[in-house]
Amino acid sequence: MSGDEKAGTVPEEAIQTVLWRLDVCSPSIVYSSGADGQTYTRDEMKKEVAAHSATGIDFVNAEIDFLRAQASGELAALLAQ
Amino acid sequence: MPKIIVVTNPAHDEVTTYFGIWMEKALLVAHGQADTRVITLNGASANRTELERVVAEHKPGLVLFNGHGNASAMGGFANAVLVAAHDNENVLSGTITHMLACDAGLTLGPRVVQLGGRAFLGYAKPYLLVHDELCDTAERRESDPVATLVLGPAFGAVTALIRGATARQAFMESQERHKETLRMLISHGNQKLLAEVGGAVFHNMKCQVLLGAEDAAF
Repeated sequence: MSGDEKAGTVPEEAIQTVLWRLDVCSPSIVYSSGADGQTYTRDEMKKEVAAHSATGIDFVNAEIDFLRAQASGELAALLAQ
Repeated sequence: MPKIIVVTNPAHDEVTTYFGIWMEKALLVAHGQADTRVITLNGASANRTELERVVAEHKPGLVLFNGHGNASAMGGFANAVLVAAHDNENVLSGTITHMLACDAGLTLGPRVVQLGGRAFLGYAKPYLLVHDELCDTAERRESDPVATLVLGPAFGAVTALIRGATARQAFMESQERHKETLRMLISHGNQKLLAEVGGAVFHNMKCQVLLGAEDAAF
């Protein structure tokens, strides 16, 4: 992923929110993204997020985009089209 | 003369294996069309030499890539480059191209269209796949309920293109299937499933791109 925000600029609240979201996911869930096809189990992704790695930060950005879209009404407007 | 579809199916890792399973399902549409012939570059044959040879020889109207990519290149078996911007992208001149891969819609897609590609559908940011590792056989992967929510909308575009829909219709069909999936996730109130895949479905929908002639059809 290549999120808009870079490591170090993502608020800690966003990191924590995504970690909580990952906690409710099944441990058998696997995420993958990127040119090399690297895959991450839920717990591996939690480590990436907690470590603020590039993969983790990109994942946080995608998740926060989704949460923001829900909160702002952007998603509702989009789905109503 | 039959209409030709060329497919790349490297299937060298978990992600590309999932793509291959879904591609096979999409190709059922083509197999039901008497005037359509499908040439699939499976495994190690998903390489640059084979792709260039097959395209030059058969002049396909539709080329469907499944693999890993980046902004300027599309990969095949073991991620070796099949097509790259400012290199051999003219191989796709005259075709409608779909790339299920990360980022290829950013630089490679525009170059393909600039050099004579009729239309290009792909993703301008990383494509996110979510799946369940308990689905560890081909059969289970095919019915993986989590991957289905992510790949179903993506392959909506592929199926529509094979059916002969215009590039615009294929793009819109895929966008609509992403929306349907999100509506279902939200309205069912399954917070676990929403947390698992909602972000990926939304992200993929937002970064899907259509370039070139919107009325191009296979």
